[in-house]
Amino acid sequence: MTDTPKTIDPKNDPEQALASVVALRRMADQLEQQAVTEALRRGWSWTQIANALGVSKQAAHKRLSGLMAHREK
Amino acid sequence: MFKQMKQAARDAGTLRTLCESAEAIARQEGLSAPAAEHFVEAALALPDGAAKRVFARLGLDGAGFSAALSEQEREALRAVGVDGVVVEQALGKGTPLPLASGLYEAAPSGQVVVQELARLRQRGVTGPLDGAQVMKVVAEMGHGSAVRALRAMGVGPEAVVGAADAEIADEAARHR
Repeated sequence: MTDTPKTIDPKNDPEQALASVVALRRMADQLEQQAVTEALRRGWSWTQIANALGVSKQAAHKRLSGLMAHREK
Repeated sequence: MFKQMKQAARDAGTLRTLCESAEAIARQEGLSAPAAEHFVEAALALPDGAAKRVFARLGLDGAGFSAALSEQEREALRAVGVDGVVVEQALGKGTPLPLASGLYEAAPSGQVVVQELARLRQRGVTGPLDGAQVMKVVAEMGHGSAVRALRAMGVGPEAVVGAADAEIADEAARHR
């Protein structure tokens, strides 16, 4: 992260703001995948992962269980 | 009639190749479903070479699209103060996912591409489904990561539509 974050004004430049939203979402998804993969490697349960993410176990498993299938290959 | 049936079968095969290729690219990046930009990358890999020719008509190398995608993402993050090592570690480095099983699923922008390509004949297109059609459909969307990457390469969506139309017209003339 930079020391002096810039600010964008969605009212003035929605195109730029939306581009940033997409990029942040994608970056968060990648960070989540990496962290969940590592948690699974360390033996965390889906309940523990769901609690850490603040979502239901069903939601965590539905969205991220592909990582476990891939890891087990 | 026979010619139309042959064309429809060929188009279905091309659409299937595009969908499978786009999905493979997306999942390699750790994304669960392909978006419009993955269809552009899939179109560039088609053996017809039409998407590459659309880029060439604009004075660009299609091989630069992938880098432009990363650059527009980097720029979008920089705009909100996210920069440096954390971004470089994350860009395009999602955990690769295995190919999906079950019904084909695309991200919303990918769904638009598939739907528009599937109704080419209703759009009055008579030539074959090829990479130029993909470029046109994606550029006509006007917004999104793929269009931003094209802008990062120095071309607006209108110019891409124009180049795609020129390529489509030449291809149709070759098939007459």
